[in-house]
Amino acid sequence: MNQVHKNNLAEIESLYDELKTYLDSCIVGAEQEGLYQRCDQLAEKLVAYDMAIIANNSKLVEQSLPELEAFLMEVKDARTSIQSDLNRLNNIASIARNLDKVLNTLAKFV
Amino acid sequence: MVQLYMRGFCQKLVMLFIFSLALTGCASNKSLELVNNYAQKSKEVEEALLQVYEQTHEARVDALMVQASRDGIASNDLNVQRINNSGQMELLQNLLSFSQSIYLLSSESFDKELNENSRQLNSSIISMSERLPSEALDNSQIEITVTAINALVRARSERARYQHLKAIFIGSNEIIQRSFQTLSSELVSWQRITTISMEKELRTRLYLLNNPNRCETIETAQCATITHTLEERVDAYRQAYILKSKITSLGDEFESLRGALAAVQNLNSKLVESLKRDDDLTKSNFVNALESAQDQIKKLQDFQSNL
Repeated sequence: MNQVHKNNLAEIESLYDELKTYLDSCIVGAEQEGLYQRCDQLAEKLVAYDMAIIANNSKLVEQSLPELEAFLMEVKDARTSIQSDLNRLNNIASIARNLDKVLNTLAKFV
Repeated sequence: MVQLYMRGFCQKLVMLFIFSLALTGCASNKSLELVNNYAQKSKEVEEALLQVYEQTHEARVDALMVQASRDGIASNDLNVQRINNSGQMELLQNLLSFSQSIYLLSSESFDKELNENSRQLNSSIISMSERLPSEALDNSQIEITVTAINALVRARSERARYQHLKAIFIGSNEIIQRSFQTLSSELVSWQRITTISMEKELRTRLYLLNNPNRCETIETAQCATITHTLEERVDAYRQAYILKSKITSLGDEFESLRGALAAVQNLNSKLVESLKRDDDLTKSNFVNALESAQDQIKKLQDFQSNL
């Protein structure tokens, strides 16, 4: 944001605060309804400025998303790898069980 | 020959046990617990942040509705454009998935599967040892072998989990810190949009309530005279009072959100430090940071449940 924008924003902020303070401090009659509309307009300008900041951040953040997604994949891969470790253990258990059966059969012949 | 084979098999298992213990010397259950705690806390803060985004949008919708009841509104204007934060939303969704995934990786229980594997192995070894001559394998050796099987299956899973989490956390530290920093730095904008919108709603409500006969002065077709019973009028002022209380507490709510985000960032740093060094001092630092984060998050959740 350049200096001109900064000054404009500061001016809008100051006008808004001044008007808001006045409207908050007394009961304003219908003949001054225009002041509320003016205050709302200033409020909308401030909101638009903050929305632009957030939208700009949104673009910046999007650039770093692939990096984070890569780590997400890494966590998923880690879980898969642990599961495959367990599957290997399953195989060992199954071999041991079968070995037991083979030994039982062999024992009948020995 | 069969007896010799069985003896060899059991000896190999004992060796495997010793080897597995050497491998798992650095594996740390405590560290897995720390990761688990971190994942839970960061998830809570990320959800609180999503709630704040939604609260801001609702405040803008409410302000427009009240403004419409004062000025009237055309169909095309009856629309509140959502704040363009698609990047932040995607980032938060990713951070939530990341928290959820590391939570699962650090806590998912393979116990049932492991116990079944161990049971099958144990029964095979006991059955084999029964057929061995007594001098080939005594009871203490059988016990060691059976324990070895149990330890092996658990240790392999724990060690793998620890190593993966350590690598992932240390690698992702920078991007996670940067993400939280960005989300925290723009909170000032979210706070201002919410405050301005709520103030607009309150101001307009009170103006309409204070001027129920304003149409005597303003002669437009959209002007509506407000007719309330006394009780309805009191309730309408009460609603304005509640809204004003919300506006007053917004500063504290956003402050506590900033505090919670900073606490999670600190927690992340302490966790990385602890995973790198794996000593008691860094673990105790993490536990202190966790207590502080818990306090901040509790404060934030209290605010949000009151709003």
